[in-house]
Amino acid sequence: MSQKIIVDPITRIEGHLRVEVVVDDNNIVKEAYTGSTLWRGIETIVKGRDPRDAGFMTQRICGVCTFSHYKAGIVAVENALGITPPLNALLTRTLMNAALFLHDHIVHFYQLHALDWVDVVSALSADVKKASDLAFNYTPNPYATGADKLLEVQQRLKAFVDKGNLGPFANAYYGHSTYRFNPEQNLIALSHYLECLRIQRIIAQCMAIFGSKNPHPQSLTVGGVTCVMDLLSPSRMGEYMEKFKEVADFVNRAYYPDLVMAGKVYANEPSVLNDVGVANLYTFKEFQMGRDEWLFESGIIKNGDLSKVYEVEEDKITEEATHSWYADNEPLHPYDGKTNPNYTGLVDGESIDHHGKVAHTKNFDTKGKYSWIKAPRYEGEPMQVGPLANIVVNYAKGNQYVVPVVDTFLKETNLPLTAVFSTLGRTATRCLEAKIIADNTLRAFDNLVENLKVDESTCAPYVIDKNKEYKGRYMGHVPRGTLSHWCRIKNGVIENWQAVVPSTWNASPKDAKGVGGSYEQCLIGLKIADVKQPLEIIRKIHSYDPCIACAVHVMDAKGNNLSEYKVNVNL
Amino acid sequence: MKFLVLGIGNIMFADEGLGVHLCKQLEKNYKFTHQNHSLSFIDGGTLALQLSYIIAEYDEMIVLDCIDADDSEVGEVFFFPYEAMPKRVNWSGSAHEVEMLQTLQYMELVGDLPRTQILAAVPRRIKPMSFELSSEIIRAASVMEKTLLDFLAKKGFSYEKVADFALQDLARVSFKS
Repeated sequence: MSQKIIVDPITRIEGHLRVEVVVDDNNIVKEAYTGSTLWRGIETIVKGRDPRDAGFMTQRICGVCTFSHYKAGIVAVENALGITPPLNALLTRTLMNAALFLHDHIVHFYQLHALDWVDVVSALSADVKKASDLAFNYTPNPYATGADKLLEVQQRLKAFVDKGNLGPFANAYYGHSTYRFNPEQNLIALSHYLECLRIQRIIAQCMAIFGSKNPHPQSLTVGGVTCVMDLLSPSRMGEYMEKFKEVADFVNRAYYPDLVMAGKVYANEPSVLNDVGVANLYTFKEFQMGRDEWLFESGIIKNGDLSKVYEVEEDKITEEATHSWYADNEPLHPYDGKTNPNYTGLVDGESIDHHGKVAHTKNFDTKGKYSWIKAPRYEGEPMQVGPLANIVVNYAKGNQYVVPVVDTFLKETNLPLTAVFSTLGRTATRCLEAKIIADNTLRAFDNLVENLKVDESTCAPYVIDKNKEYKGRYMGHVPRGTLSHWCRIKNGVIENWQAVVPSTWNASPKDAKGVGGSYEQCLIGLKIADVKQPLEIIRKIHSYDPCIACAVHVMDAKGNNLSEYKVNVNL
Repeated sequence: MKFLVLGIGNIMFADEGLGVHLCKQLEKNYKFTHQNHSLSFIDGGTLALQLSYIIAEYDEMIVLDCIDADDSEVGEVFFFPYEAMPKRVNWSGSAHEVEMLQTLQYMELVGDLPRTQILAAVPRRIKPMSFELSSEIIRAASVMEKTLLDFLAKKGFSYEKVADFALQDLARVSFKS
């Protein structure tokens, strides 16, 4: 008899991403459905507004990808108006983008994904001297893994646990049979988990240096950047460089070795291997390093065939809504996209609760509509985006910055290239992407410094002709994959706006042909050890770094009696 | 000591932007003085972990936010210390969004979380893509304003009203600043 398992919420905020799978008698996933239960709809709020304001709104879509959408909102308008910003502005954006990527990738691996791989409780029983020695197996110069340091980490964790407050460590599936690290390996990763909390602050400051304001930077403007005084200040520039180096050091001596460790240990864990999901890979060039040079290039790989990389043709992109809560089902190019909501809700059904019992629940209407995410397609096919796509496409193209890093990683872990097409591969390629950015960004920094010596311009002049119609787009690569924003401008205001965000490619519901996106496809065939603790599902979905829709920050204090803190209005 | 008032929320989701709008309103409408203490107002927007380096610089913090609590009604206001938050927040299957509460937990783990109070109201409309606030939340904001002023007065701050910006007016333009 088949059973249904629902994991909701799988992203942190309630009601954002929900996964439903149907398993057979052997607990093998036969059907999978992933949907977002919150409407985004940025498209509707920018309509009729001054195009120069769009970026300031798009950056508020999300609390994590804020800079990605800010830059996209600005560049889409620049593209429409035919503006090429000065090189200084373009390189400054690269430096800010590098800060965003490194913040995002390290926080994702340690704070958001690590507990899927690392059994924190097990670290308490590690031998600190053995762990300290073990760290040298994965790098010649380990980071924060001296025996004294590891002992302190253990004591800190114990004090936290003894307080009865597991805080960030609560609710993982400790002791689950698919955790593979030994206690010493868990302790090494835990030490880096704590270090990451410190390092992420430093890289957030790197963003602030050129942001004019943080949180929510304001220095990008249609035409260029406004942080002229920061660019001309040797101390500000030096601050960026020093802070960036400190973070790059963490990437190379902690993050990278931890992935080498994971690559070796998890190479025998079937639930993280051979699950590429959608084998069509799509990435877009990003990180302008100089006048005509980008760190990563664009390309498309079809059906996992690395022997041919296709050029990206933007008119082949469509979005359809057969199974999405929108009125217009037909595939449309983003320039002509429609965003008319048609919410049909969930339906009554049954699923397994966390005690393993069948319970009545509200389920996806899998025959009908079940997600706020549209189904983006390229030539009618789903695509996988993200670090895996970016690294594999660039590797296949022979990118000089990517090939040696990938080859070295495979050699150090004894993994074949095909192992990259997996949950483990998605997690590892994110680290490799971070390493490549960490190792190369200061070349863009040097080019900026050199260029500033001969050219101080940071903004290009332009006019918006109210009698003219414009259309333009941003296409690029952001931490979760390929992002595009598409806009039309008419009568001097925004006429239409569509954002095709990375998670919509990966988390796409099924299309008219019944073909799902990468989240859904990678779950098919998965064997779940314990239906009450579907860690394998969570780990796979987390490997995409899911970021669905926008951040709604209602503090959830349910289950706690706060009535004594209610403010009496009459006082 | 350094005091921080941190407004949190998504300004494009109507009532959900309350924390940010109120933070800006208080900063614009009042002038605060204290012989020894300083007071800053920061729009934290939708960010979380990226705020921790900023928060760490302060000794005491009041977070303005929206809240969803048991037995609560729209427009009700709560003011409580961080310690009163649930010790075991359910984030099973947690993944992406590190939100404010987790940020505070991470800072507690690092060991430099300022003394923190949370001042929050229960929103009505968490409607995507709107700057229009509900009348309940506008009323709640004035309760929060009074609560905060009383709190700061107890801490020895004196204040004077220097302007009269309305919450709804600020909500319509807050994306620009």
